[in-house]
Amino acid sequence: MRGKACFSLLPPLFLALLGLAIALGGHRYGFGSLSNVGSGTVPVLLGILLMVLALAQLWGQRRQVSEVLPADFPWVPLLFSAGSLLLWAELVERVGFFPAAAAQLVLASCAVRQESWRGILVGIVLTSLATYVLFVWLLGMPVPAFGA
Amino acid sequence: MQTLDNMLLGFSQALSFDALLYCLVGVSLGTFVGVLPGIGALTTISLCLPLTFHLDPLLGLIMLAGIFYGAQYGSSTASILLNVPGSAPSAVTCLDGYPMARQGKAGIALFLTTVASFIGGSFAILLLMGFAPVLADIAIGFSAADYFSIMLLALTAASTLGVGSPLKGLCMVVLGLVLGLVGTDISSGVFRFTFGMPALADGISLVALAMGLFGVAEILANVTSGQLPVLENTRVTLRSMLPSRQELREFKGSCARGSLIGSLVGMLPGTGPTIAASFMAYAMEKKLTKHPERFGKGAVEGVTAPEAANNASVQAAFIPTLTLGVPGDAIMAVMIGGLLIHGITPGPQLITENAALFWGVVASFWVGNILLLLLNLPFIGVWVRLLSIPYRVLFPAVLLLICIGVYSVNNNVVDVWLTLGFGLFGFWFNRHGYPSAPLLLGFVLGPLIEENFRRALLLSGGSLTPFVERPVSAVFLLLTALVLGLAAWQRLRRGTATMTPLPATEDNP
Repeated sequence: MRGKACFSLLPPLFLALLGLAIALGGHRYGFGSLSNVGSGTVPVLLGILLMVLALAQLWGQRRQVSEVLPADFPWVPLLFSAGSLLLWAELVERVGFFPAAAAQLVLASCAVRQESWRGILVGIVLTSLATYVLFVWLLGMPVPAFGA
Repeated sequence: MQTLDNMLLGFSQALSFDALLYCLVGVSLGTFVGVLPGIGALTTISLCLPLTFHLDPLLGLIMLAGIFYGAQYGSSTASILLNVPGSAPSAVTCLDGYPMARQGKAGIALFLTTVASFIGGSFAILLLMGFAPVLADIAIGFSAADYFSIMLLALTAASTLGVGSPLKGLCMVVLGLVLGLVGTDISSGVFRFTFGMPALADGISLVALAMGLFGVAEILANVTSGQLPVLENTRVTLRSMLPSRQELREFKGSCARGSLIGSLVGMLPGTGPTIAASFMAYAMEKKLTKHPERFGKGAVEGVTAPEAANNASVQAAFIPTLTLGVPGDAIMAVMIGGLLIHGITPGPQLITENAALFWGVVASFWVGNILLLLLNLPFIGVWVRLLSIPYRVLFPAVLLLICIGVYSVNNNVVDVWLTLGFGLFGFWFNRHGYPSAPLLLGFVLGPLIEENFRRALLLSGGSLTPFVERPVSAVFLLLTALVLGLAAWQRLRRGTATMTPLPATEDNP
């Protein structure tokens, strides 16, 4: 039970630490004066405010049962969908528009059970062509169709 | 007379071929994404934002606004037929819309929601036409301290008046404010939180943040839910859409009340077109009726009032956005971002300095609402058939569009990485009840609120008194305090009523 409760405490804990980091980081930019507020004043104030709010949330949650990560959490759809974005970002400037688009679409399609891969392949071709025409031909996005 | 002249100017802009074309594209695209659950107006507007860089600002704004209110029309279709809201405010429509569909009255529900949407939208446009110039005249005299206080109220209201924990909303709004500060400080030229990355010198891309928090996070939530929406065999014909006299009687009063509530909620800075307007309209109808037991079982008022309120709130939200430069919600924040990219600052001067743009957009709302009426009544069968597109086919293409859309803004893959990062963050935090909309609102208002805060102190020689001495600022600070007090009171009440202690175990005696 303690493990379950701890899991729900992670977001406010993360925000509290982030607030602390923002306040410490903002401190380096200088405070200035009240009549000439420095670049660091607002970040420091906001960092402290975020930390206080997150700690208040943490305190409020200390005895509550919250949603927990189920044992059968669908990691595969998450990793495939998120990974498809990463794959596209890694490939687009190395192998060109169409191979990157095809790789992204195939990987994202693997995230859920597909009934017909023939339909998916048709979708990949049509989506790649339509996006290429819109973004590269019409809007002049500087990415070659194939190659770096 | 002045309003008539202004509307003539507006229609001269809105009825040009290009404006009509982009209005039609916007409302059609809006209805399309509204009908399909899981994409959403904000994702689509963010996706289209880079496209508008190549357009005249008026045409871009007409298209983006068309997507916004078009999505509200479309989202009721999924609510009624699938019991899955196309957008959050349409969740209320599910309560009675889906039972109507199960009773074989899907056509009537779709007809009444479309007409209610039109009436609600039209009422709010009239309000916008009459109220915006008056508000802009008053706002011309606002100082930096006044703007700071108005924005503070908008941020506080947006984070605490929504559904869910006010504290979580406040955390997200503060995080958004910090993210808005990333990049070069315009006052001193100092790079803040850029970590030596040149790509962050101009700040975090608004498109990357919006796409990540809403587009990617929503898709991740859908694909991991394991329950992708599927349409049962439903056929809607024009004949099946005709309501009975009794249904028309129930429609009239509820539609009028919904329009009024939606307009009032929508025009408040910070509250915007959120789910609050629909819920309030629904709750009022349930309170006024002599037969509250009909609600939840297919009551006509339970469908028409929330839909009229929803569309009225969307149109009314343009009042604070265009006249004060203070967005009502995340979508309005993205629209403000789009205008700022074009070098146009929304605010009281917009009506006088860019009269053609302001009145052109307002006139386009009339055009758009009429187009939506035509699109959603005779062509309803087309939109219903759209629901049969499987989500498993749709979402990979949407992810690709997100990648390309984000990349096309700066031609930089760093933005795609950021989108993924924000998507995972949004997915994780949404699961724990942290809303994304206040974060985006904070992000857009962050630089503006800091600028006004610093300017107010500079002008007052370091004195904080203008914030409480100026009447406008003092009133808005007081309202902010009231909103915070209300949220704290509600939390305390809810906390003592619903706090569920951990069951006693060895670890937790």
